[in-house]
Amino acid sequence: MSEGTVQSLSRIRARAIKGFLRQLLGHGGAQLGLVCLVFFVAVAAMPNILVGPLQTAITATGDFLAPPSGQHLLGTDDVGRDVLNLVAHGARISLTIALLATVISLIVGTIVGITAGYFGGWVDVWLMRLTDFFFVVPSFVLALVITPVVLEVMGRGGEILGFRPSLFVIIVVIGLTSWAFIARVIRSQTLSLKERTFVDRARIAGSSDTSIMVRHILPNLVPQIAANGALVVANAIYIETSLSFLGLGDPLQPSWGTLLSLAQRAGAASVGAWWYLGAPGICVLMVSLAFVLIGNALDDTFNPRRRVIP
Amino acid sequence: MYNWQLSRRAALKAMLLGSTAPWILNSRAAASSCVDHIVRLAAIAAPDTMNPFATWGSFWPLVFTYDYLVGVDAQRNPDRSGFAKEWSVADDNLTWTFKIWPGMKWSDGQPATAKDAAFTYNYLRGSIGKPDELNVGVNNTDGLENVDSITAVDDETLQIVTKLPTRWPINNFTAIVPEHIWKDISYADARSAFRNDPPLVGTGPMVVSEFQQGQFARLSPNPYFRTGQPKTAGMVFRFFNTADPIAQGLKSGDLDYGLSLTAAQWEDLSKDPAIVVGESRVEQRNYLAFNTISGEGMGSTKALQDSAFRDAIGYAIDQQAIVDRALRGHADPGVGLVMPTATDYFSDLSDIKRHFDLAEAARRLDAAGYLDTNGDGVREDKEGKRIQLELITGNASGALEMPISAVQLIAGWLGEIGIPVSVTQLDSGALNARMAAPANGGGGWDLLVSASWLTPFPHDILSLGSSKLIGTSNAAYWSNDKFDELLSQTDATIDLKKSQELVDQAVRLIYTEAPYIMLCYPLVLEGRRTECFEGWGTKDMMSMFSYFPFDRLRPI
Repeated sequence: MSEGTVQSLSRIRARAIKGFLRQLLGHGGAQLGLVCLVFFVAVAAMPNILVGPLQTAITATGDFLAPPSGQHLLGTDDVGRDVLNLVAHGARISLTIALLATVISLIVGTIVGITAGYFGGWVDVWLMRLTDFFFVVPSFVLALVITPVVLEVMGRGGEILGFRPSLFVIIVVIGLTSWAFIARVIRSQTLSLKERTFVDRARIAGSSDTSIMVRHILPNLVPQIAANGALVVANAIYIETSLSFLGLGDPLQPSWGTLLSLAQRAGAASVGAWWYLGAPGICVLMVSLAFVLIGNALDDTFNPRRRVIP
Repeated sequence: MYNWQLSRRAALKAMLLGSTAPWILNSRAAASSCVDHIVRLAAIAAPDTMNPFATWGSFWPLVFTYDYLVGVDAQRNPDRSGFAKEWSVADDNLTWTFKIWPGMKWSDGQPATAKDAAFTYNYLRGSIGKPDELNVGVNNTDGLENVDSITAVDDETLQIVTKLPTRWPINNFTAIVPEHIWKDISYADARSAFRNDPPLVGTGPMVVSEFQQGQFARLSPNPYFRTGQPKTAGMVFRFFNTADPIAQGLKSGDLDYGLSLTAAQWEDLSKDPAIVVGESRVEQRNYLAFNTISGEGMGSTKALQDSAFRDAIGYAIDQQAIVDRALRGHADPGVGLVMPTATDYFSDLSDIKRHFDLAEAARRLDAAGYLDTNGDGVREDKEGKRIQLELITGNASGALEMPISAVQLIAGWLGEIGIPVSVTQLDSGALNARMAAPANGGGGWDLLVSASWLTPFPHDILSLGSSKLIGTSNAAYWSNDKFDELLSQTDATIDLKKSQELVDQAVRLIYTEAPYIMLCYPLVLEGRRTECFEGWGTKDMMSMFSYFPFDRLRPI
């Protein structure tokens, strides 16, 4: 390849990306979602700078369940911690759990989907029956059953890859229970892709099955993976919130779900402490909404059939 | 897929709307407590069966239906008696004579006599040593091994002869059941399968007529109650697993009485003029227990078996801060095994009491050989292994809920002295499984924050350290021969002065050995509406040991 073609290739690529971004940002929803997401990612990235170090029951100074005021913008909780501080630190935990769980579910879903679609036959049958199992069993119920068992087996001591095991377990459980829908989508797309001429050409050129799947089919699946991934994140945040709300989270590391659980146990709803339930609740709502909006916009942008219709 | 989600959402909305409809109807109907004279109560409780031989969890609502022979309340309050009208003990301190209420009847009209009481005790006693020994419920065989004979001399006189001097005959918590119902029930059934379905037959003022597990129990007045049929038209006791619906129910007039309120709700309700709130001292002790066992079921480090280690940690726990911050003052700070309600035995142990001082705790850990040798901020045990403790916690069924902030405080303090703690919250079933004796599959944890709510009598006060009760009352799996000796002496002592001395010795011994750090003795937080009924208690609105005040409550 000469230098000229490389340059023009990169120019083509840059133009394509620019076009894609223009189209994506043409959706009002996507703009809103991105702004929202950037905000929360910023909060999650530097909570210490924004609201100071995480307050614990020991370092708490505020009054009990004080309503929002100049000193505590979002009020305080039942031990006197600043709710804004907790919510900002919770953002890091909730977002990390959601993103890592999504990565796991995307990896599992993509591998299963491509393998099933590409090989067909009994591999397809067995993998799809496995997928059906995870489809039929509601993933939240499955997570609810698996989490305490895994926690029991692994214990909570020490750290795994820098996480407390309890968080790690929740990540793995969410990841392993929400891949079925991705696998289905990826498989159907693979079924169509593998009949295309470029796959035949690669095969005749002597590429192995693995290299065809990784080099030729996978790049064409990126749009599907990205669009569905955004939807999975929203779902993962919901599951994490629900599991923590039911007391399966780590009470020492406040994720939004744990905060909601603590608020409920303190009786915040019946004493009118709306800030304690409301703050983490609205955060969950906003972040998952942001991901859904982005996911839908990605889907619209990538999906040629929707693109034609003005 | 998107359409499907939308229709699912629509279906969910329809379900939500549908589910509120009966609630709205219900709350309108409930506003008529003053009209239908049915008392509506609620608590955080999870009764599972109406069979008192098979469960500890059904104190409510069984306490309204069955009488105890004497029990706690009758000894404290002369106007709250049980199955026996009067009782006395002979000079040998072994022969107890009980006068049963003359002419008393069961709620089905059959005579209730000393024979029924004798049957209940002998039924339990007959199971001792059998494979189906009745030792799993509130009606159990504990204490009966010291009994020589239980006989009904006549219909109104029950005689209990004990092998050694013991106050068990008046202190026991056995629900007296009717012989004509229970005589055909086998031990195996009584232990588990027999559900004793309503309507029940009892001698209490209110008889369970309907029971829906996890929802409510309906009780109807006993027409044959010994002081006359209660004036109210019955009770509905609702069971919840959180306090929010209870506080809301009190506010809206849906409930006449609510128990198990959180501190925040209690303060909020106290501002409502239609509601009277109360707090009363009870026998609950909230504790931090160490897994002291070695071998099977032991914790992650041998340090837990070292009393010097446990003692040092005692200096890192600020009971006053737990009371002030976690329970907002609605508790007494923890000291020793004895709770303040056991006034005959309570002592503040001021001469040996540990004070909160993190530097002192660290110094004592250093002195005991638990140093941070590699400078990573975490101490190592004597084998050189990093100390990382797993704390399990959960709400013991039937006990008042402990705020999770207490656990956050403990984990925080221990972290500051170089002992990282991870926390696992368990529901009461899972907690019981982990707390069971190692031989029954329990153990493996390091620290436990839980609660115990037993009677204020010496046997129950000291049961936390009894090696016979490892895995049930003795959550720390701790055993000590001297303590066991003191406990068995206490069990065989009637004289109050001597009993006080023995209890004091035992309490001091277990305090210095420190298998438990007492955190607090929480108060019951309750509230009631004023408009429909009168006759509630003044110190405690509702007794935690008997059916008071539902024998005398009357509509306004």
